[in-house]
Amino acid sequence: MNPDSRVNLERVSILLLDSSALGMSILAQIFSGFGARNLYKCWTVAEAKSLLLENEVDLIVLNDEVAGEPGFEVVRWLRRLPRNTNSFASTILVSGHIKRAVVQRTRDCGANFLVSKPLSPRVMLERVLWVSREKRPFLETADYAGPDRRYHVAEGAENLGRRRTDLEQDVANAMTASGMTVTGTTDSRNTGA
Amino acid sequence: MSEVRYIPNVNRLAKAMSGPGGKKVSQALDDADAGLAELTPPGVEAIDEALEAILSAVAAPGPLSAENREAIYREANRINAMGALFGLADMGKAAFSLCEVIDLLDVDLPSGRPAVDAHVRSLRILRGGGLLPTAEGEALLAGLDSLLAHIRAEAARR
Repeated sequence: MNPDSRVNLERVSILLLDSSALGMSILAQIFSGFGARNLYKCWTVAEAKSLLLENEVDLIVLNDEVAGEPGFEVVRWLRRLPRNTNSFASTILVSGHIKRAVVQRTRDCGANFLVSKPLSPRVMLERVLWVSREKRPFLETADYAGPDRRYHVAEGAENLGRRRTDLEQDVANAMTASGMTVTGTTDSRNTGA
Repeated sequence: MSEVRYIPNVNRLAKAMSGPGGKKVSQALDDADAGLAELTPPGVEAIDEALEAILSAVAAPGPLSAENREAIYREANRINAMGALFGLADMGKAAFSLCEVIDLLDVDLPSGRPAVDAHVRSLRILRGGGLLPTAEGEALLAGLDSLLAHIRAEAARR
């Protein structure tokens, strides 16, 4: 990250979801420090869902556990919402230690990025910038909806164009292996802006 | 036959972040750090509360109940999340290791309770220890790593 480059979150609407007062303060201080002005603070899953149904949000940052409810369920719910402008909103899931029993479900929830605690402003800003450059297409299957996971995160968004040309063959191979059919489509949910 | 549907990515975040304005990355990071520094007193207080809750959960000798295991896991995860933010990074690392141990205790391991106790003692030492030399803190964490490796191996054999 170039320290002299600029970051502009002034017009970005951000939903923060964390049920703990201190956890919410940490997220709010980080994003306020980055210059964000439009923070929606949600303390419960129900509050977040209600807000997402009624407001356009550009970035969602949520804890992996919200008052006893798994945060990843919010992402799964969001990605499956029919005809909602936020269905494919950029989403960063923040997690502490994840139990073995839920690691897979957490990784497969459809978030753009999983960030481990302890948070640091540097790591969070790097992830926000990465997500803002995200070009991965979204996939919907019977058991997954979210960014195409076959892109390697470490490669960075600048390499996605090169790999996109490889993708169709990847999908064809995967289809052949698993007996699936592919429908290419453009969905208006992802053009809500 | 199930269906895979492709949806092109129209990145609304990118659009919202474009345009003039904003601040330098270095300034953004400095401002975020300054904001977090304001949270240090309540953050350290929350870490101490979490440690107290862990001590309470391990107070009774013998096997840990499921309820106490869950309480220890929850509070250790809080310390893991906050330690490094509020100047107690070694505590955070020890707490993460404790989370790992607890997560492995869904099977009854002979070494489970001693491993939990060792982690809790380490957390107390690391919290109390402004006087603990860095090298000794690192040695303590290395010891917890070894202990965790032992627990993992034991769990894998079950």
